[in-house]
Amino acid sequence: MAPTDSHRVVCHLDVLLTDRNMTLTELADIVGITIVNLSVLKNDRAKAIRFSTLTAICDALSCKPGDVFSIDSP
Amino acid sequence: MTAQDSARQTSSLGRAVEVLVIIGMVAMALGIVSTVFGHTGFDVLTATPFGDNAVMSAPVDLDSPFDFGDSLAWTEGPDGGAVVAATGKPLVELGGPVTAQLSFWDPTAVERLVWVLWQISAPALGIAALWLILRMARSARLGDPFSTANEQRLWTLAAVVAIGGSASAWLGEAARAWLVAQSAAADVVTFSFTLSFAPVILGIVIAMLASIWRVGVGLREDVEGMV
Repeated sequence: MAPTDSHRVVCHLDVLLTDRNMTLTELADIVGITIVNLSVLKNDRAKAIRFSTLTAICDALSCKPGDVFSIDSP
Repeated sequence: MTAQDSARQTSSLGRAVEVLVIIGMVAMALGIVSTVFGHTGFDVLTATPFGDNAVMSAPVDLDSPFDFGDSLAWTEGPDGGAVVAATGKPLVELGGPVTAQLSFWDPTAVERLVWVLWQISAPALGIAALWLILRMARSARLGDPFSTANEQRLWTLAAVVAIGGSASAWLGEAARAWLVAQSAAADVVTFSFTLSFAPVILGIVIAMLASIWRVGVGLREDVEGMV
């Protein structure tokens, strides 16, 4: 069965950025994607993320995918 | 070629398609005006956009084949084979069915109305179809072809072509049959229904395209939310 559009994935980019004293603009420069797209991701409005984007974010923030995302309880 | 060049080329192509579609719609609209208000319609216009198209007429089959007299009579050629007597050329034969044009020189108001409805049904459907194509071409030029609106337009186009096209063709044949049957030539000519399933087949093809389009719309939605 195909997954529905609704999801409970929560992005913790804001916490990770605060911990590292980094701005969204700086992360966008390092990762190489637009600040608009990073903002979409940070505010939980993204529907999907490319592995390449996730890799770049994890490299830039020295973290693992599990640190960037978690799933809310239903 | 850069992405910008490609976008510019798509935009130019899209605009050219839009212009062609608009020209087609205008031509069909002028045809309808000409038919409705011209000499063969309600005779309001003295000159129509496509000239004064003479007489209201309908194609019919001839009951008896046309008599060509002796023009194709055969005789024995120099080598013993059969040749056409008049020209000496190799033997040929003309066969039926023979189609003729039944002209109505003084149609009644009802006959005019039936004829006009028959004649304008196809171009009216054509305008509706071209309008849908125009809207799709416009959205493609603006860079958003895989939208739910375009999917709906394709379904509508499929219905217009399959149902509208078939209804137009069949009702047209009914109108032609009625015109011929109540004319003075009813006993001289024969009438055969010519029904085409091409609109249904074309409509099914467009419906298949619409269902494929739906997949494209889904993919587009996925990509839109991807970072």
